[in-house]
Amino acid sequence: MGGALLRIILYAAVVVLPVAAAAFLGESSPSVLHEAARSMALAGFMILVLQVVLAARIKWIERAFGFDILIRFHKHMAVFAVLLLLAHPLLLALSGGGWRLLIGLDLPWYIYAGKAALVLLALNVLASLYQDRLRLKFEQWRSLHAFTAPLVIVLAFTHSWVAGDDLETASLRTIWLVMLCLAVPVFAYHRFFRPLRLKQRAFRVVEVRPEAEDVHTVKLAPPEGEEIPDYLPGQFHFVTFYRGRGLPVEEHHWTISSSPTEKGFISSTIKNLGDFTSTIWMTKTGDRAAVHGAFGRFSYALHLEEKDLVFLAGGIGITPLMSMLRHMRDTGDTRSVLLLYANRNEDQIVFQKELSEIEAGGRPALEVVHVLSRPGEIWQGETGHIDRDRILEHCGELKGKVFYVCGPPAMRQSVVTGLRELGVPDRAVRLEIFSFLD
Amino acid sequence: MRKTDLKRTTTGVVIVITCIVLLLGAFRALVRAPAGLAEKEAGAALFQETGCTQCHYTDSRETRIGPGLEDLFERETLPASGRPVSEENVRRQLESPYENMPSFADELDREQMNLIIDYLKTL
Repeated sequence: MGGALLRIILYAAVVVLPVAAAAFLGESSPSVLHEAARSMALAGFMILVLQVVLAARIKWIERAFGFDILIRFHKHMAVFAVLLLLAHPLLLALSGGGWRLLIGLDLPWYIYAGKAALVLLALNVLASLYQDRLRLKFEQWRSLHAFTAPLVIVLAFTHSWVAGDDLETASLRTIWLVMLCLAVPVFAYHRFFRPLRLKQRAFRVVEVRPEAEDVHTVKLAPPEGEEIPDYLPGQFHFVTFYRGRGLPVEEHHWTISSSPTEKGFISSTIKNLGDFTSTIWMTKTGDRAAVHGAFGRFSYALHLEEKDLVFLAGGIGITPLMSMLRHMRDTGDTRSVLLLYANRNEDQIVFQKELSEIEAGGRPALEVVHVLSRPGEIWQGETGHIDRDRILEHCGELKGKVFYVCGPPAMRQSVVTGLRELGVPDRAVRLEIFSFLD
Repeated sequence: MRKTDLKRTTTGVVIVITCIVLLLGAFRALVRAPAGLAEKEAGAALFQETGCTQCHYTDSRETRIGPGLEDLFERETLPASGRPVSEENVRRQLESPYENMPSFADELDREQMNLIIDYLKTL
């Protein structure tokens, strides 16, 4: 937590740095509204530039929070930046600039540049918040975001550089140039150079194995002479498949289902959930894949002192938990793990045989309970859903247990609510929030 | 960090940044601007004491003896010399004047010239 706090303080300090510089070194006016307007624009611009850094998958930043949390912080800060930057012209108009600034047409070009930046930013944020309702596919949203985000920064930079009184001071100009010199290379590296480098050192597909209904495991091996980057069981990575044959080339993130103890390959187990994943079964041995990872903090390996674990999985949400179980098996771990695993029917249970083998092996001390919502006639196990009563029935005493939850959003929400009702503190519940946009 | 921690952290960061931004803005308006106004008054007083007002209007572009100086720093060129309007060229005009204006090089030090230039910017 200390590392996270340091990074948060650093972030806030960078955001307010130009406001402080302008307050002490810039020209002043006696209007509080006018000064608030200028200060908000300065802070808003800094947040915009730091958005590039937050999203660039920089390990030093990510490892303190987890990428899922970091990307949500990025989203919240975008909304904050919109509010600050919307307040800027409104307060300027109220402080004597007049409404002409907002609705006038005979304005200098640099005012239009600022207005364009604000409109594009607001559209960008709305598209990110309401991607589902707007029926934007992930790739469409991503392309839109990648195009408009740098445009917003360039337009905002131009507007502030030409129109901003504060930018007449050398200190502010220096900060602005440093921020631009930071954002441009970080963006270029994140969007262009790193993908190119990863493509040049692409992994090879060494096996594509059907696991259950509409679920395949894809095993990847690093190029000759290279090692698989270190990862923790439960983490995820970004993968771009280069398969030819007219198949789509898109970057997606998947949990790593293998364990770091398994040498020579890294695997993801992928369910057909959309346009891209419906083509996973067409992946062949020998195809190439750029791999970028690993990310995330959903791993028991970060909390080795916790000895009594409860894994609550739904459908394909088993994958990070499987990675952890494989790791425990391979390291001879003796901790206690109860796995409640929900699926619709028998055919959808992923890793059923291997889970039974780990359970029989005794390391870890694993108990697997399958729960099916629509089982076949011969099913003799539990039916229904993972809910509060079922958790209580199988866990008995809840004190001292730590819960790892991974599954579809509805299941996740219901389980978390159930755990809260049972009095389980939030700190004893670890969640994998796999979608970056919900 | 958990999702509940994220909400708390985000709220905290937003509140801290907003407070600092507003406090620094208020500091700038309420503490620094009055000081700036005092400097403006000092510049105006010096402008008068030095005798500039005998030759220049400050609220008009009309010529008195020398050209009126209203909006001087919003013009492209200085009225007498035709040089671009800049602090440096105004200082040059004070030290080695163009045409009939007397030199103030011996009368005003650099700091005083800066006060007058800052005052001229407010016209």
